[in-house]
Amino acid sequence: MQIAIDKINPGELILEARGITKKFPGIVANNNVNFNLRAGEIHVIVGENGAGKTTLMNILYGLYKPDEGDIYIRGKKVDIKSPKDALRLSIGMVHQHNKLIPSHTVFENIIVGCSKVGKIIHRKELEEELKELCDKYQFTLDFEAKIWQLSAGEKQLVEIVRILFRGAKILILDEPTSVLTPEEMEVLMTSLKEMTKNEFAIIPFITHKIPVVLRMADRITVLRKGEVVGTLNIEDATGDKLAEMMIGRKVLFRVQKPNIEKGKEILQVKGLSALNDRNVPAVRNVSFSIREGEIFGIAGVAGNGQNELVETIVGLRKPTAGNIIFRGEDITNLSILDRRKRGMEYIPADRVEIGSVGEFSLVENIAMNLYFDDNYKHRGIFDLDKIRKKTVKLISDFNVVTQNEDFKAKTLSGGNLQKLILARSLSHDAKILVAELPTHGLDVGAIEFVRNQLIQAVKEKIGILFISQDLDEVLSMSDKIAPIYEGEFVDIIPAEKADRQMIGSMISGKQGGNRDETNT
Amino acid sequence: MRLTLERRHIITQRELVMIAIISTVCSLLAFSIVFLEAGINPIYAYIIFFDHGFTTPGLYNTIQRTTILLFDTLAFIIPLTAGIWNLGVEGQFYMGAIGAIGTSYLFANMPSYIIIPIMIIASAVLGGIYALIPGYLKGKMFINETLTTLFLNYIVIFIVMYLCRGPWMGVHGLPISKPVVPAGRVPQIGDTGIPYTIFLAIGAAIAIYIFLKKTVLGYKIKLFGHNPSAARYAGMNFARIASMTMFLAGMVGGLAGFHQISGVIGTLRHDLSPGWGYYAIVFGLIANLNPISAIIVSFVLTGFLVGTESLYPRLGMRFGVVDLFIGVFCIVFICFQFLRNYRFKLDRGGR
Repeated sequence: MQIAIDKINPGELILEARGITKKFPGIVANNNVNFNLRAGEIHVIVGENGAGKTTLMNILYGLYKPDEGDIYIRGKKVDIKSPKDALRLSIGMVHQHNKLIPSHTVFENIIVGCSKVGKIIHRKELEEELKELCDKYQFTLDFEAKIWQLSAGEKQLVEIVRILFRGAKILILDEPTSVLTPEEMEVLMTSLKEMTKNEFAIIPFITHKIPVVLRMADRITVLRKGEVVGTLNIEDATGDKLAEMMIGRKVLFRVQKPNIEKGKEILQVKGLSALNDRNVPAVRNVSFSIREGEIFGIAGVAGNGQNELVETIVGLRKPTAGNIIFRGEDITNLSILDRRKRGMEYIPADRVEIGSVGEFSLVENIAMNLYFDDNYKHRGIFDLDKIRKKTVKLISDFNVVTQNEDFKAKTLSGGNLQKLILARSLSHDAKILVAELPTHGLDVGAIEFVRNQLIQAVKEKIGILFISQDLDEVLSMSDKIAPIYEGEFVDIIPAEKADRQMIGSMISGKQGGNRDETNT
Repeated sequence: MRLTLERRHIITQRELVMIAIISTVCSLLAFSIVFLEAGINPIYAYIIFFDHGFTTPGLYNTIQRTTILLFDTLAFIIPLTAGIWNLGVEGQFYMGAIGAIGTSYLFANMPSYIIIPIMIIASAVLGGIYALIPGYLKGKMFINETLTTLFLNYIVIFIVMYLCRGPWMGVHGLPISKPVVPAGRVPQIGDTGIPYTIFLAIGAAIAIYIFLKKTVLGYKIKLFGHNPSAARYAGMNFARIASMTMFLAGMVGGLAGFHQISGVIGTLRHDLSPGWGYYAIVFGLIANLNPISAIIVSFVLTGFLVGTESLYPRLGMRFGVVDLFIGVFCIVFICFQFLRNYRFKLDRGGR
């Protein structure tokens, strides 16, 4: 079945999928999907969560067998039964969550399980070959480093090199930019562009981040509900057009934020410091305050202490110094439950592992925020009817798409799960809402929904602490913006004075704010 | 036509029961190899096996022993619902036995309707406190409960040995305690030899089922079992939940001790249980942590155990065949667990 893919002319049609249909119990994941790929292009597939991108890619990679339809490589019909077959046909896939061995070195991870290596490892020759490969595409990799020492971007690079080393010419990338910092994303894009010059064909698929799509792609195929809406050349594509194709209607990209009158201060944080899980200071002397109806945005690259700060404020982490004052009361030493009872709500970044319980029904998930409320229990026994009614109401108010309220939370898509968590948090007389990455990883429609709900909450005098890694989002949502770098607020800037460039350099530590200048 | 495997996305209650039945049948088939090796006709052997385990009078023995295994299984199930492995059921059982027999000596002159409730409470509380130790250590200081519960089992065995050879020693000079006073014996159903404690065990199973399903505390326990970080996020206190579930489990385990003292043996000795507290682990996992399934599982499996015990007197097989049976059963059962995620599908015609 070997099809030589060594000598390819740029622009040649190398992969074609015709009429692919794949059904799962209850849904049609792919319906008569046609897709083709030319050598030397980056062909991005976009679509909301659940649009069928992953299914299509898994079919190309041999993880699923299509119910109908055929795949052709250079005009020849092929039968891809497993990832091994796919690799033999020069198709490689880089998964979103890397499948590397953390305690082994980069070199070991690249060569492990590769048939090319044989029984005895000729280390020198292999290293030479890898070096050559890396130099060709300007990858910088330390072969001796252990995987756990690498950043998310470097790990992704290891995965890519790993696939290239196995001779792949067609690369499938699952959400390649979702884990990267802005700088790493630039590097990746340059490398990918460089690779396409060498007759590689690349298929990244991405749910949102339309600006990235527009910069990266040569062609774009849009999927919606398992069907191809259309394939565009980059010249014909605009952000609005893509978003409309993805969700079938026009989307608001810029949040329309009404002018809301701010009330009195409800949350004050004074000189807060905290350690991370490795007992290293992660939050350093952070002070700010939030008023009713105000959105206080924290902008920063992942891992600069945002998570520790949030955990300290909501009561999951003990501060080493400082005070938290909530509606005039010092809550620094109160438990998370006591804070919750006083009206502090928290939407955690990890909605699957922390925000919900996959094995629980939607009713039971909603009960996570009601179990301490005497209105929903009598002498320690749940009033299940009342909780069910509340769940049904929340599901319809927040447009959570599910068959019924008894379905397990793990059956919900990311966007619907986030809607459920948001509904739960806002349903309970919240005074302040700590929203950590509330739109992270969601598709365009769900992002719009979440943002609008947050604006709605602010109108009802709720104060919001808003943490995001998306600079544009922070800028458009917040009333005040605090760029955070290595656990410290570089500055606190009112939204009208904030400027993208300035905050961008503050969060990467390149520029201190006014505060630093006065201190030093 | 071709037989292929297909991944399951959902599984119904009925399919789960079917899988349990299929794996039970297959384990019996697998065990017939042992009979063949011993030169016995497996069909004949299984007739004796089922006859002894599930028809009278053997059935009475099965039901009587189901009581203790059901208590033990429940004591294992409750903490595991919160994600805590209670391997100390055996120790909690012996603590309950000590509590039961100790109070029967203390209140020897009381009538039955006073002494029996006191014995029940004493065994439950003593078993509960004994289980509370590892529960608290786990909840407060994250000390691995599999080690602490297991080690505590050995300590209690030596306490029992001390009591039987020391202060509570019976008249014969054997390492067996004085018997329970007659007023402290639970009456038996007719002449079946089954003490009324069986209803206490079934009642406990139903009560625990309702407790886990309906109450707020039961909800907290399940939340910790499924996702501890979500439970912490929801504001729940693990130290409290771990202590409470272990205390509850110890109480139920202690009741097993009461049953054995007051309903069956009548004296304290160090071999009151041939490791039933460990069988409970198998039973609880097979019952999929469901207290109602636990009733059925403990009955059927105890019947099998009683059935296997008939094999050495009736067929001249060696001792240890009981353990061999449990071993074969477990391995086959685990092998069939993959059917929970996959199912066989007949591919007709084939492309």
